[in-house]
Amino acid sequence: MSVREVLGEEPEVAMAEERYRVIGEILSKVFRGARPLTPSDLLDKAFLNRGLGIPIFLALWWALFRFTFDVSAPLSDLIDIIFSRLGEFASSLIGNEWWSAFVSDAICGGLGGVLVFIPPIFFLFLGLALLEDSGYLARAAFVVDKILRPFGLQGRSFIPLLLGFGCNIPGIMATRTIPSERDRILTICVNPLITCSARLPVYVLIAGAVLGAYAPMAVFTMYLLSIVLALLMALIFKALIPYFRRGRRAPFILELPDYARPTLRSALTHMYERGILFLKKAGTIIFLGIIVVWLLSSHPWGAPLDQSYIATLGRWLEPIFRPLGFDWRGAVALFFGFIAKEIVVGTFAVFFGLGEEAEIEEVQRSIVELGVFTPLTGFAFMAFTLLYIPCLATIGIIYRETNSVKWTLFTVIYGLILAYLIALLIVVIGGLMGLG
Amino acid sequence: MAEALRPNRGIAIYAAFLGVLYLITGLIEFLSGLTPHLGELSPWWMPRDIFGGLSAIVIGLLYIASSTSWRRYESMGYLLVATLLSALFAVLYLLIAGANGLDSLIVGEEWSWMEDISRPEIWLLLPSLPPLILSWRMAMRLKPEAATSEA
Repeated sequence: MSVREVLGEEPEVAMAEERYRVIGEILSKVFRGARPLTPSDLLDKAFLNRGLGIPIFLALWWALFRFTFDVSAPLSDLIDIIFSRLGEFASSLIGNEWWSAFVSDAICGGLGGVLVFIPPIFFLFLGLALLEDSGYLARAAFVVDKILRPFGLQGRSFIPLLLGFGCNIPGIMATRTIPSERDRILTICVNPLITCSARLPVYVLIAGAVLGAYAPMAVFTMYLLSIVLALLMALIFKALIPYFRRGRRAPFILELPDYARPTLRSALTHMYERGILFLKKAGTIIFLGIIVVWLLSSHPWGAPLDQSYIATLGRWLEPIFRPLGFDWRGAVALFFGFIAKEIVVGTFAVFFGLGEEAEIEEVQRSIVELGVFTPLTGFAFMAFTLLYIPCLATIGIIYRETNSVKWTLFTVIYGLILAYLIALLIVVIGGLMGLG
Repeated sequence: MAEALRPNRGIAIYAAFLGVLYLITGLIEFLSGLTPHLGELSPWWMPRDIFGGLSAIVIGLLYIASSTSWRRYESMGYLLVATLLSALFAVLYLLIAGANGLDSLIVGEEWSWMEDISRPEIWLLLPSLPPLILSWRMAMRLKPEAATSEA
């Protein structure tokens, strides 16, 4: 007979209840008068308020979101420019064309591609450290726990999921605040379904090109679909995967610490300790991945893009995507999007001979004129872009955070299957309804 | 001490006034962000920001909660959190304005600083400062042995 069966409840709950019962008994014997009121009690009246607790949490999340992505933007741009100039400078010094392209595009482009993520990650961890040191993060988890619990997630899953709307990488890294390994893995698995900011240009491009007046609604639908599917998949994983079902779900027991004034020194130390791991670990995977992709897209050397190994791959992939209505250009754009979603728009521009810096309207006009997408297949392409893995960097970070090839592959593969199924459903149901 | 924490009628009225200001600001920002037609009608200095608007509404609701519960010590808790959030968002929007300015220097794009600086939440910090100082001082005066709740 297990301890749980003897107690009739989770041992942690029984221990906590017994501990507080004994504390209460002792206090009632030795302490006379009313309980002292502290500043923490005062703040908790608002932060843990039944009606205002969640809105306050959402407002603070929004502040953290803006701090992470808006305030760090100049630093990311600076890094991007420095590596771009460094690439140009290195390429001007090297005579050999292949080595010049390798150093400027693969090495400098690859390093720049990794390092532009550093500022938002460091800012995120600074913001989280300030919230944690202040004592609020424990309250935040407490406030949203009841909403997420039916979906197999817990209170601490909320911040990583919401940060995913900016970028899935800091979102996945923020799962470190979840102490339960099972809940942490589940949160990591569904985080890529949250639509990051890099996917927005793709929605804007395709919706603007083929959906006309319905474009804003289609983009909004992607955000809605993102939230619904993340929660739904968490529910499905919890129901179907034994790892997430193992044992009864432990209740969320949390001792709320007193509020404290966070110190900058401590917050900066936390930020550095957590953020530097990104450089040490994920940086190597992302960097190598980008170099491999560069090699595939630039070879055979000197051949145009549509004759490169990537294009060959696109034509090889075309039959798979044909039921969804995507031609080889759509397949290649999705493949490039596998590296980073930002590349999708540029890839279409290159296909239409417009160059990567082309105006979005020019690319949209070409999509319509060349009949790359119908409204229905365009919408399906948007849904596919939403649901398959956000970028190579995300795969790297999933591997590093789960330390498991199994969970990394699982997340990539279920994302691809889900993307395919949802896109197919859109095309089939839309076709039956006479849309398209 | 819990008695001493109750704000007087004047503070309650002032909190209600701030609450209404934040609610109006938040509603305009939210609705302008939601409906492009309304966005065109709203003044240029009012951002079209759905979530920013909702955040301002939350601050407004906290001020209102402080005002309506002014006979209880909880009122000071609502006031303290409302003023702390006011300060947080004002500082955040100032940081974003600075970041946008820095970004324009780095990337070489134009920066509409008036638009960034004129964000209402930045200016609403000024009238929020007196209740912030008051509620902060009151909260800092609280020590376990110095105050009691009747609960």
